[in-house]
Amino acid sequence: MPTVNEKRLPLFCPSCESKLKVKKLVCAQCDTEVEGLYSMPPLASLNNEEQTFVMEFVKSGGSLKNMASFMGLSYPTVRNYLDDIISKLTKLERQKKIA
Amino acid sequence: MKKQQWTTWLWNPFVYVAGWQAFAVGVCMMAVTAGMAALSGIRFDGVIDIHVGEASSFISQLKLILIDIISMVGMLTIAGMVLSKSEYRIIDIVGTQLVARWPMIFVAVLALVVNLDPIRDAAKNFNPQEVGALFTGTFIFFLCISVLVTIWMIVLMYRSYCISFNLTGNKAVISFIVCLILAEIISKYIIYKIV
Repeated sequence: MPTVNEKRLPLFCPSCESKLKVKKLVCAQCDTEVEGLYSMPPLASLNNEEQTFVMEFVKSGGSLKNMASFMGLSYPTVRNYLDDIISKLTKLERQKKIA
Repeated sequence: MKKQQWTTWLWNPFVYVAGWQAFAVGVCMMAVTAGMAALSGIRFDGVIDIHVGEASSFISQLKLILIDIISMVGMLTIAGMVLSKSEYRIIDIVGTQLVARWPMIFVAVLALVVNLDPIRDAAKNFNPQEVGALFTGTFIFFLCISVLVTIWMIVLMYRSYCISFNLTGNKAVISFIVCLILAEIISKYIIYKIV
């Protein structure tokens, strides 16, 4: 979870609520700027909690049992949560293909 | 790690406990319920039935509870296999359904404490004219607690089904109600016609 001072990557336009795209990338070292129109990767479209889950799931070697003990939840609860993320990512990928 | 809440433990403990862990806890609870029921003369002769009878052996009480659980798990597993798009483990539905029956301990213990002899006598020598006399304060109290505990157990059974097969919405509600009715009929049939 982000701390109070940590900036969150905005996913939706505050004005029209459409999905945001990346327009500019900046090198923090030398200030070089790259401009263009890039789509957000599907993983970046997940919320912070879901992104943390995916990170921990990969780090645990894809073990739902390890994830269950890490999160203090039961195995089917964690598996259902993963199912929700999978269906969300599938939907995002489908939207990306259409766009 | 999420903070655990006592209300979740009460109404949906399967968020935290499932699988073999739930199975072990559920077996212990089933044994305690059967023991208490044997002493108090309560019979769980049906998936959602509580009847006042004579004190009986621990084994016969255990048999009744096992028939109830097997009927319910059997129906829910068939429904889950048909409706669920998710992967599932049979041990999750077995373990969580065992735990879902734990509120019945309260009824079995309550039956030890309150005097249910007038009900037993009435059941033996049934007289329709004396039915009104049975509704004493103690009996109404026992009845209310039994109904509340049964509702609690049904909620837990439903949650167990939803979590084990990742089902939600109308699909989960309707299939659960159908399974509950069928399991009740099957358990009654097995108890009174086969065993």
